[in-house]
Amino acid sequence: MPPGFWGQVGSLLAADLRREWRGRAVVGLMVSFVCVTGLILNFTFNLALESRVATAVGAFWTALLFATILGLGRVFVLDGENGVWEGLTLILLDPGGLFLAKLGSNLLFLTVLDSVAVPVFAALYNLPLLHGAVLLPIALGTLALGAAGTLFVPLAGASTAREILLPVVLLPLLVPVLIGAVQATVAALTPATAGQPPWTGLLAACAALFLGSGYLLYGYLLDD
Amino acid sequence: MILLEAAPPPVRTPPNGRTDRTARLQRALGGATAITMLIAVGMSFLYAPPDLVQGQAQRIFYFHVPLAWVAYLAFFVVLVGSVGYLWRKQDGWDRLAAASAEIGLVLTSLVLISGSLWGKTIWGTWWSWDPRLTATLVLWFIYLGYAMLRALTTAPERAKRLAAVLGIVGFIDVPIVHQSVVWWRSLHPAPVVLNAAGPQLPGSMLATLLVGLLAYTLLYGFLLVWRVRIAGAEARVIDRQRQTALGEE
Repeated sequence: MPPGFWGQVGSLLAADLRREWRGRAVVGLMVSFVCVTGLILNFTFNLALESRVATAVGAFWTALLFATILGLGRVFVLDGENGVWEGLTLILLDPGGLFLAKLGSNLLFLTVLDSVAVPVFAALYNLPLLHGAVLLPIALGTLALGAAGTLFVPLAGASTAREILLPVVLLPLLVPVLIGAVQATVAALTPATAGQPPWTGLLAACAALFLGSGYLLYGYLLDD
Repeated sequence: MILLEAAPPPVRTPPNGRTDRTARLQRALGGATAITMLIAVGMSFLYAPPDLVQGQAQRIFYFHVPLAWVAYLAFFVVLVGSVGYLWRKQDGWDRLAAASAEIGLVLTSLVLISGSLWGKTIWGTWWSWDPRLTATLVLWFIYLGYAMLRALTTAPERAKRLAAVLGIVGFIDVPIVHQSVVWWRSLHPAPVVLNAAGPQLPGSMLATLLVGLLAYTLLYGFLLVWRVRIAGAEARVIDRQRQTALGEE
């Protein structure tokens, strides 16, 4: 009996994780990138300001955003080098399932990235990020970034200008994710601010948009 | 050999009846645009009274607001063309989306420039990060990315599908971008036409605005038909060159 939908999603996910475990080609680079960006941004901002928390949270999300774009772009290049896309055209799984499998492995990579970035930024920027209240904004922000990245990396990947075209296409679309993630994180760290707009709702709406469009439209990016 | 595989089904020159029809439509739209545009420009300088507070500078409103409305219309047409292309797989839908995105990008540039000129006079600054300016700038960048994706993706059939996906997701993202920057901060004059209490404009100003809206919508239609026709002609030339190349082999 052939494996069902979730069985196939699971085997694709496992294949991506196995490659990462053997080659360690993506997560290590993403983690190093987010840390060195944390170092660099520290020199560009004045952290002696009253708005120190908001500035530091902005630096945190900026670093995560760029690490995500570069890291997921790298996954796509590795897939291309290994002939993954050609292989995937042979399986029977529908494109939505393929999107979910790719999203699953990307989200696991991003979770590792978050779990390093949070303590590093908490220490370097003296931020109380090790707090349960920031879990929800970080989880939703990561989900939205991961879903958008999984959908848009193959979209920009067909071009020879892939590395620079991807951020040009993706960054304007991610404006609400970045606003929502930064504001929700700041609101979680400074609970005194009442009457805030529903930032986590905004993040959830973005995540829903990119998840839904990824599930429905992923097939159009691949079949050739 | 690669050429053979990549070749789409041959595009036949449309029967002359159809060419004539679109050419006639384009000419009619061109004529209507010229007439209404003259009236609109005349009304905005001669008929509409100067604003009590803003004086003559307010007249840019009759240019700026219709452009913004038509820019949104253009991006909606990109959405329609994109959905149409993914659904029907006909190149005409793709050409509609591509043409409308180009025109929308030019219109949005004019919206940003005219808004900036007005802002320098009234606010004393070329730019402010107010929600509507910010959202319009993000909109401009979304469709700049769309234009670059089309220009830089070399496989033509693939480029059409990728552009269609971006045309759909980009348009759905626009209201979310708008809401996010509204929450993020709020200097732009409140809407005066689409207002719960009805239009808050004197009749002469409203009439000038509505004629402007008609003129710019006709201009958009004229440019769209023209651009789609050029794209169709380009596709026919490429197809003919391909057939010639195949014949020589």
